[in-house]
Amino acid sequence: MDQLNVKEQQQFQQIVEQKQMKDFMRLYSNLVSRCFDDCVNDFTTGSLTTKETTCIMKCSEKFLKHSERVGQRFQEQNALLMQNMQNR
Amino acid sequence: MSLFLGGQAQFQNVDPEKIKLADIQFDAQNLMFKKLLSKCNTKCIAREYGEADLNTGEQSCVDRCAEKFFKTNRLMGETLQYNRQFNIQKMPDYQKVQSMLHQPKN
Repeated sequence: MDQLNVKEQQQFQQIVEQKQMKDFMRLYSNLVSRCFDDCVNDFTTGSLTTKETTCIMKCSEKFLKHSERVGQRFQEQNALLMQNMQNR
Repeated sequence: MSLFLGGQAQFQNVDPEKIKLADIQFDAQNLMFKKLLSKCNTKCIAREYGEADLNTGEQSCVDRCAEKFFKTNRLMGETLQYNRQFNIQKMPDYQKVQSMLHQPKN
């Protein structure tokens, strides 16, 4: 990707921004459905109970921490992979 | 970038093929990350939320999961590259991407 000139980079940046927006929306809806499935199972009332609320908060925080850790490992492994490809 | 004459971008031509290549590379990486994220989540993260942090077991599981996912990926690449039925070397788009990747930087 470093072979792109400035103008090409500008165009590519726009493409990437659109993709990131789409990814964020997908991530968000996945997170809602996962934490809803895992935390909300009692329908005797229409409002979220205290237990459900704390569960949802922890669920989302845990998910974000998981993403962060996977992101770190992804970068490390990816760097290794690139190194191996260049050495071949 | 200089304000005078609008900077260097003004004089540069856009090569749609190069943008397409960058797009393909981005998608490949992005897809791999998304897969890694969801695979290691289902395999490692307990679906109970007593605490918001990953516990020690989950942490090392995630680390190993990522490593193994990459190793699987690499093994699969090596296996398929020399497979006669699935001959990626002869695919026109693969050749195009390879030639663009290996061309000298300008």
